[in-house]
Amino acid sequence: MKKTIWINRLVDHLIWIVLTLTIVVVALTIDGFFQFNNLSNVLLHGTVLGLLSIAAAMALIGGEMDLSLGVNMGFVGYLVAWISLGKGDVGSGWNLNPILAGLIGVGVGVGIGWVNGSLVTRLKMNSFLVTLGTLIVLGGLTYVINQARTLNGINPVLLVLGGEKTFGVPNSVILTAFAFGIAVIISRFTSGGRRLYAVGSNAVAARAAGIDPGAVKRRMFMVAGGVAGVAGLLIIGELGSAPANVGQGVIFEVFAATVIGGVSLTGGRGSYFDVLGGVLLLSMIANALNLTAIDPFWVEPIRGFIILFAVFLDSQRESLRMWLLKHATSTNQSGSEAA
Amino acid sequence: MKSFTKKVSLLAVASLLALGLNSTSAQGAGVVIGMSSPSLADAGQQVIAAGVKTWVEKQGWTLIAKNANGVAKDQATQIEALIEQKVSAIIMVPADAAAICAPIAKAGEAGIPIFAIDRLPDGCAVAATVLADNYLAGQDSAKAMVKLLTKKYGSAKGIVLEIQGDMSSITAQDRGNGFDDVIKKYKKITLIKKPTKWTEAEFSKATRDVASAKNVDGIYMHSDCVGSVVVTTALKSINKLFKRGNAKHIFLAGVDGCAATMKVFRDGYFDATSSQALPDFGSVTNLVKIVLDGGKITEGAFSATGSSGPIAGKIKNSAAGPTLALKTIPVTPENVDNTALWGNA
Repeated sequence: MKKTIWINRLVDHLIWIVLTLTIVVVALTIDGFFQFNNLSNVLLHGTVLGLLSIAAAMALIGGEMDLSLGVNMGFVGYLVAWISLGKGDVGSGWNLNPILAGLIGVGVGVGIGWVNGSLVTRLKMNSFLVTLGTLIVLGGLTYVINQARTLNGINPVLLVLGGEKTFGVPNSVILTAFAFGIAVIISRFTSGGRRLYAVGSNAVAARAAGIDPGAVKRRMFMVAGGVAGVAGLLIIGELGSAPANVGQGVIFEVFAATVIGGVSLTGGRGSYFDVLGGVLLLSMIANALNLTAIDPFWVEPIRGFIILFAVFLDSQRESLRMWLLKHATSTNQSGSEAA
Repeated sequence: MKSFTKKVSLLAVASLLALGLNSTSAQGAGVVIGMSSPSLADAGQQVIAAGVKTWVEKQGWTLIAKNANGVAKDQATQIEALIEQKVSAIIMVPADAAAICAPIAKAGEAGIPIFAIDRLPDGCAVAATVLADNYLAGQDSAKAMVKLLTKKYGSAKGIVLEIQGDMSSITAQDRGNGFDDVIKKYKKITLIKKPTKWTEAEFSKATRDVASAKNVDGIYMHSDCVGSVVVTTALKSINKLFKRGNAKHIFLAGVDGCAATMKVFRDGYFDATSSQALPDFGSVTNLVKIVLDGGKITEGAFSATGSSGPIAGKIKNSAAGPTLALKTIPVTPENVDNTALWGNA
């Protein structure tokens, strides 16, 4: 019985085994990987990816998809930088207080989530198509705000979250760790978290149990949008500037991290703790490839192959569980017979 | 009879005048040039557009300027409108290198020569193109890097990170090849190349990862417009940002020389860039004149008097037609305040 519990735990959190093995291989083969500064870089890589993966996992667990998270982040980051800049810095000329600008930005992120959620739940539109539309609209709007010009000279207050450190640890790493902690607590220990799993797993059964799936999903989209907005504040701090194209294309890596972390694309299943494992794995791969001397043209294909391999391992999760359980049972039986 | 002869003479003079006005000869105010910019929001494009205006006026021609605001479809519509207006020639910076081929074909059907500046059309040919000599720009930045490394170590050695652009683009290939061809002569310089898609986020990550794990001596970025701010921010985040003159300073070199780079230069962190001669891309008017006069643009050296002195380049034939690659201007802390540089405009 104890053995079965351990096998289930092991398979459920398979990503951590894959991550540990990868760390060992990378540390043994790549010079300079295991330095404090470099490990800090791995975590830094994982901040924006991590926040967006929390948001994407939330939507997937709730049985929906949000493709707009990356451009939501880029839009918010650009907007916040623009409204807090003076005219001379090719900004809006509004010179808005940076903290107020940041709060407006997160509010806009939540608003984008509300629009997505309302279209999906009230008008019964498909979330894949709705958020694909939002992705295109927001990507275009980011260019419209200031005609695609990169914004430099950002107010230093706005760089604190993404670009400064506390006791040697990047603030963005602390914030992302905190966000993962909160996500784990809410998903495991609050009724709101459990409702999201119930709705994502079977909306009809959830409704029968007195849960309003529409309301749960709208809140879910709004929280996801807000988290993407916070990621927007991190990215401008990390770069020290606000490029108009910053969130485009990010969503593919976000989904890869989320799925590698074991979140089901069909809803109702997944753990934020394991999503963290997926985020760390992809961040480490990106970092390791930057440290290797391989031909630059091979970087992207190799990265793709590694992600495919990780997804393959994830897809074999249930087969592995069955094999391990069968093996454990047969060992127990032969043990009993021998006794 | 006298009256009849007078009438015939007047008619002949009028016909000759009319013919003169309608001719495509590049003489005087009769020549009207249409110009289409991809987006005047971009500081570089503003400089290019102002330069074209100056060069057109220098020829004594009239300019009709249009701005596509970054929309390739609008640029196509604007070029069609210029064709309808029967301009003598069209100069444009393609908003989209491939999408521009349809309007180029329409101009060809109407018998109006069309010229590109700054970017080559992709998949079709124009009468001529004027752009920066990106290969030379890469070479100049490499020479500056070698000089800095030699000054630091007594000989050319060290580790240099090359942050590439999108290597599927000719611009990135030329900037990379120019740099690499110089650096590979120095066996003790280790070159680490990291490809990007010209995005700030990738420039930042490549800098952080490589510079924190290796003792990088210098960084060459294919575009300092993309990289100067984010690379210095990334170096700061790993405690490796030091001013020129500090023993721990990492040499920074690039190509472009836009305003953001000039600021980083003045702040004491940048070492060398190859500034494009954007104000003199308008020298395309010299090529327009050749074509309107019925001449042929031939391969060879090119020289002219530019906005702030002599300019030079080479004309070569390519799949996109004759291409004039103008020499870039090497920028160092010594000449960073030169007002002729487009980044200081």
